[in-house]
Amino acid sequence: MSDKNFENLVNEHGRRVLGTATRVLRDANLAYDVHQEVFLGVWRRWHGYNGDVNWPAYLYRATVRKALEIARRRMGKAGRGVKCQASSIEDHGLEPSNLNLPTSPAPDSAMQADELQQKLVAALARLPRRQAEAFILSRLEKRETAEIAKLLGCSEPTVRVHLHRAVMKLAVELHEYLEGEP
Amino acid sequence: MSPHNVTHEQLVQFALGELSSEETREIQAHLRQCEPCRRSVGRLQSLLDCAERMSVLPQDEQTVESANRKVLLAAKTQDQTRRGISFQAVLLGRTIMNHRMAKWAVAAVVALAVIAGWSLFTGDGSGAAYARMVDQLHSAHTLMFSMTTRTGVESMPTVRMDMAYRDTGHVRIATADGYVTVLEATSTGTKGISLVPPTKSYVVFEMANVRDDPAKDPWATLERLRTLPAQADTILGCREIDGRLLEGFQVRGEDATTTVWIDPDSGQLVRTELEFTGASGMNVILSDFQLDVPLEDSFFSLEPPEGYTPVEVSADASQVTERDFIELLRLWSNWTVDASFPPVVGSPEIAKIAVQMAREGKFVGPYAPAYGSERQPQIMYRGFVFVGQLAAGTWRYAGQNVSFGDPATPIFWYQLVGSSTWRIIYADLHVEDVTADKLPK
Repeated sequence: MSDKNFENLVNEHGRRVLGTATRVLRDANLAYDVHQEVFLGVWRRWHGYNGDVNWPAYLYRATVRKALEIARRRMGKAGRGVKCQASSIEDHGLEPSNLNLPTSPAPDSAMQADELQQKLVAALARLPRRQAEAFILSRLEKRETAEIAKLLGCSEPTVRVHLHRAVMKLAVELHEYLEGEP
Repeated sequence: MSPHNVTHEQLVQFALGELSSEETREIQAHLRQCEPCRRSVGRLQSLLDCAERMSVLPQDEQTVESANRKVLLAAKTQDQTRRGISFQAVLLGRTIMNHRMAKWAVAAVVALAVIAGWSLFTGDGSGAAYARMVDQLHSAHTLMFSMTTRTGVESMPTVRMDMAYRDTGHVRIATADGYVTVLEATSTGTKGISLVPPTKSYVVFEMANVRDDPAKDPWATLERLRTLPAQADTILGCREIDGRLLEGFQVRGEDATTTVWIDPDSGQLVRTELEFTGASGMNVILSDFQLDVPLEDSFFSLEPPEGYTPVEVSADASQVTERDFIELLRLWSNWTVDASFPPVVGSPEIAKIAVQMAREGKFVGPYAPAYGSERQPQIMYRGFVFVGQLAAGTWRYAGQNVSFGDPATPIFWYQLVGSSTWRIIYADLHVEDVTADKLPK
């Protein structure tokens, strides 16, 4: 594939890649890094592509992967305690009783929205990739289920399953930070 | 609906708004009587609200463009590496800019042009930086730019030259007052012509049997210049230069520091500054870059203008020997007032030095006595080519401030490829073979 095509690819999808990375990481510099890494990764393999690539899907998934990798690194030790909790939930299945964990003390009113977002990203980084992708596409990128199915290469019901599992797990992981009253 | 009949899956669907209106009403009715489920839905809602807030981060147009541009530049840099490996069959027409010999041919030609009268007695000159920046030069089909050299020597004026390259293997260097050098890569080497307007003469030169080094793609060089930001050592940020806001990047090399200024809006190279480790006070500024301007064949013509008389120089690189170098040393010592040898021999700085020496009256005239205007350039040229052929670390020059005569003062020693002994040239220009342990300290 020609160099010109690569330029077109960057110009056409650069905004979306940067946008997704920014929304996930909420840090312009880190998002910028993701953008560079994603496209340079594509460029390194450029002459190996056969011209039949679903670029929006490929780029979206590469972007989420990179962004969550960074989020994981950034959270480091901070997220480890929560991780144990999450895996124990996975081990025992997602029964409503498990999700209905004992009510935490009144949610910390001083908890900043920003902190909650950080916790959410950290929790996303620990989700199975498909679930994280579905959640980000649906809730952060505001895509319709049909479009998400195309991007993830699966059926719409499967998208919904991924999304529901993601929401449930995130709610469990973050339960102590989430307001319990509707 | 009793609490036990509601699954968490349903609560999630409810929070996501995926349920039919009937199902929604059922869940709402259930929530009114079940506090745990109400709290669960509250948490789900709060999670989705958080995601909602994250979805509306504004995006800055400029950031997108800047990120796209940067990744394209970086991709081009990576491309250089790939091309350098895979494009083994470098077109002969492209050999001129990167081959060590070709560089030396250029250096020698510049030195030659200066020495032969290009600028020696007209107060114009330098070009010393030319060979050094050959590495920085280009790849687009054509490239034009201006090169301004500040010599750092007070008596020597700032020199401005217009350079033009075409990827057919042509180079043209012109000064405002009509000194023009055109180089053309041929299947066997390099040929060229230098015009010397004051004397209405021209120097035709040719170098044959130049072996190509396919390890590098020479025409990648300007690309490299353009893509320097991706590998810059220092990012200088934005600064206003000549009324334009430019983004600066600095790369420190072994013998020069290159500063590149790029227009952040267009990504175009605007200005490049070179400073040389070995020549303090000297700097070169490249500006007015023009890429892919169509350049006619006549622009690179090797035909002299009407009325010009020739000074012919030719050298077969395979036949240049030690004797040619000794002839250069002899010529130079005949040329200088105090019979001294050249201060340096392995550097294109020789041109700058020659100009300066001429200005200081250190030469007996425009040509060394008994050599004349025709032989002198040839000897110079072949002599410099000889040094250019030697590998780094296999020779040493010690002739600075040494005058012709003393048979015990070594001024140059070198080792030929495959030889266990070294050759030493003494100040009376006799030569001896010695083993490495007998070399001068």
